[in-house]
Amino acid sequence: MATRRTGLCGYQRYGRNSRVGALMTVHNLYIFDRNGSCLHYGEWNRKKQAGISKEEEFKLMYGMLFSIRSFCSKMSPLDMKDGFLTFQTSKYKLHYYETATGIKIIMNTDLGVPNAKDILHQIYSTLYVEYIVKNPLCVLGEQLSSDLFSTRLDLYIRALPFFSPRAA
Amino acid sequence: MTVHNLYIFDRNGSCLHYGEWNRKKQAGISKEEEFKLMYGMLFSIRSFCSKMSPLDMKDGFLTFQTSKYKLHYYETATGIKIIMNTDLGVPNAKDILHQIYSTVSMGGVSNPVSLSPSPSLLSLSFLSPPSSLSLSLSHSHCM
Repeated sequence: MATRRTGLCGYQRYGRNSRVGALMTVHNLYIFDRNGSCLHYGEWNRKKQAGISKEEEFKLMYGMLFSIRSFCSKMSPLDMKDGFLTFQTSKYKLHYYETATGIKIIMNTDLGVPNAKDILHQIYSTLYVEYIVKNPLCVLGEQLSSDLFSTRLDLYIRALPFFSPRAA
Repeated sequence: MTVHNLYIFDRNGSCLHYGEWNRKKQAGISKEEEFKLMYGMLFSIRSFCSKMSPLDMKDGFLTFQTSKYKLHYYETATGIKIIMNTDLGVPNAKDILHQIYSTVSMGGVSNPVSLSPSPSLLSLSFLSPPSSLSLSLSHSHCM
């Protein structure tokens, strides 16, 4: 059973079984709170910008994911348990993870990443909870200003076995 | 593995065909509203995917999945859109949907009884191929 440690745990878990060969990458990552405020945005490999301001981009991302989740649940041919998880296009894949407290983490990767749920869960439990929630200086609900959190998140993403600075 | 249901839309958003094989939960709205919601939402999702894409897009939105089902989207150059909900075991339905389209377009367009271009294609030959094709394809994907 894999033990969980910050930074290298993804490598331990995925190292032997990951399909190494094609370059795989994380493009960007958003963290929203339950009110729709964007707490953090990180970018590692983005070739095309949205053409709108960051503020509008965050609102669009949050609003659209809200609509997609509502739509998935309404149009579901089965009774839903968890809800919307990912969508993919011919070039990238968007992964969605929501906690019981309403924190939403959205990560865009390339197509080689099958299931990022564990990764996003870890980002929440080992990074967000440890460096933000437990930090008496961080005010929840505002844009995260913790450099330590940003640095740790950056290290964690770069340490993922499927991360490469260049997209496939 | 199973196919839950399937929608075919034309370029104007009219639902040409809806087939259901294994649906346990209805949407709670009329079929007409459901078709409008499906078409409109897929339109928005495609526009959103293209705008927020971190890379230059080639084809566009293909599928999304939840913890219970997966929605597959296929669009032709003529604007015909095929949407299929399956369970999670189906990795890539693009070929299947392409086959459905070629089977259906041959049956629909060449049939002298069918009306053209936008009203629903009512010929019986049009209605049966997707059902049998979907079922046979879904069985062929069973492990």
